[in-house]
Amino acid sequence: MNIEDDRFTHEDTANDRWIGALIHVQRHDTPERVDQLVDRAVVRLRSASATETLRTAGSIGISGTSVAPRARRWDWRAPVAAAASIAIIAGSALLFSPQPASADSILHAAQVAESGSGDRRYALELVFPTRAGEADAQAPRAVGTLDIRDAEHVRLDIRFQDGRAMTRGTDGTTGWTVDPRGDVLSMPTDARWPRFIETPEGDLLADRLDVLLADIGAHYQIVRCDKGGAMQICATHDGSDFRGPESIELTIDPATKLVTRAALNFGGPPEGAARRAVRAGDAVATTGSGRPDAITARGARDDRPEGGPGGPEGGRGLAGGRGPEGGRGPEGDRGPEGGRGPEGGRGPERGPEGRRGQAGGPGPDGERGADRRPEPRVVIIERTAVPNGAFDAAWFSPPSAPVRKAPPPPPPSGPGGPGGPSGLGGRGPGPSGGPPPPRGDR
Amino acid sequence: MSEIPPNLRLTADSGRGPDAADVFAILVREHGERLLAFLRASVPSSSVDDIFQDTVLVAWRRLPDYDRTRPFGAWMRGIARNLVLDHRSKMGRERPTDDAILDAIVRRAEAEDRGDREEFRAKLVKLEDCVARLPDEYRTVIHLSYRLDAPIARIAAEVGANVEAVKKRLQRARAMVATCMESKEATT
Repeated sequence: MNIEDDRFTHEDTANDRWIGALIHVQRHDTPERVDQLVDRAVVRLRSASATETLRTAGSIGISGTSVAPRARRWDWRAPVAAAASIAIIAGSALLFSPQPASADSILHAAQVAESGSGDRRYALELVFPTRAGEADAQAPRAVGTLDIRDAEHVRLDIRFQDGRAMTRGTDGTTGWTVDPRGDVLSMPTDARWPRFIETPEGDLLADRLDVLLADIGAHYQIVRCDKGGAMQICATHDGSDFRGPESIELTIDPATKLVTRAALNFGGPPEGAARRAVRAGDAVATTGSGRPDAITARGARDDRPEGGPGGPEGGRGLAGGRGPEGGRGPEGDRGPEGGRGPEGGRGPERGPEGRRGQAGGPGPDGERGADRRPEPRVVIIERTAVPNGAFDAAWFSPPSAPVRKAPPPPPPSGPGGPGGPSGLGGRGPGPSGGPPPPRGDR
Repeated sequence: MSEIPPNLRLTADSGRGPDAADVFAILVREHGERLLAFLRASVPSSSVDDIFQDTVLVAWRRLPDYDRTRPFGAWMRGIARNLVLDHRSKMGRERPTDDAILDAIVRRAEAEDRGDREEFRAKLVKLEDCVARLPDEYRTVIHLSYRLDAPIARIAAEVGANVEAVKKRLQRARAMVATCMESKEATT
């Protein structure tokens, strides 16, 4: 009988065993030892994958195969793969071992957890810039839900404080929206969603949270910022030209590693300040010296043709920063040069209104946006339970047959011209019921 | 058709971020101590490392079956439990753990899924504090048994007691530690 068997003879209940095991783990299984054990296992599985050639990528999908074949033919790839594996593992160990459950490791775990699909409901809270003279607490808000099955099945319901509502959906076959009179209008299935629920690449944010998390890992400085016992990661934009929120706060379920809440702070001054900033932005951007701004930048979205002529303060004027070649043509594609104009981006000083038609020109439905809000400065996305566990099959379909097509977006103002209102308030799906334009950049 | 399961979009596909094995390793690390605790409670130490390795490899192979709505740690432990049963069947009559105890250990381990790795380590620190507070005669046998891995007979000789008395003393020491842990958790 060895020592351990001997120990088991005096640990005769589960509680006894458990406490004994904890004492043993505490004394012997240091984080470093655990990491070594894991690294050793990963080297084995990498090495097995490498020698199983084409199965490398698919090895996780093959059950019943030998992960660690006992007898292998000599293959020059094996030592190369092993060396590469050791290097990768050593690198991983350096990256991840110093701080157990570091912000990095949690973020990557969340990335895996969020990579699946299925019915999801997110509660949305949108906080808009305050109007001049308003305190922060008075900032206009809107609440709603974003229901997602996959990229083809999406439904967005938002209610504004003033009673207006926005309802949009797509079932993959029909895109639809409901106008203020309650009429259901059809619209292209690839019509753009509001900016705040899309990733900078144009993916639906909540559908691709794993992409957002990868972006956070690549373009944000992250730290753990647990609050009240909740596992949280605070991400601050690293100042690169990546187009994304200024800061993001993620709350993560410690067990499943799913993101339960994401607070996206797009920054931006209060409205009154924004009005001043847009003027300042004009001055800077016309010099062409601006660089893309992390907060306000939104390349593809900001040059949509739906904007129409900007109003006095609306849309993308010179501050928009795109040069003559940078604009999108009528189809929403990039201009002849296929990229940004000579300015190479937007003026860093450009406020939110530099891109949004705060009081801008007519929206897609021809309604002027004088009373419309700019895009939200804070968006809070919180995962909530799906009623009955799954959405009804018809949930993403139009509530009734569309009575007509949603009005098309107005003609663009021409390449590089000023954009019109493109924010939540200035776009089709707003209270006026008009749709946003098709995603010309896809 | 991709062999990569649809429920796991690997970042390697998009050319950014860590590859699947890196991410998998991070998840396993996160749950490593808790998995080891489960194994140490279930099988002799001499088998723990091997079963741990096998659990990781089987989990990697079966990743497509993982229901991501379930806790990863619980899923890994389910695999480990099957390997423990397999190990136990190989041991024949020298089974270190019967079914009832194993199920109860699983339930104890499940309680640890609520927190993360840091919380678990924090719990171990509390446990160390509880051990330090034990009366000398109890702390000594814990030290000899768990830190020095001394056999019961040697501990008995060391402390001048018989084997049965040492077993009883160890058992009481663990019970006192358990009580101490419960009171610490109740106050936090």
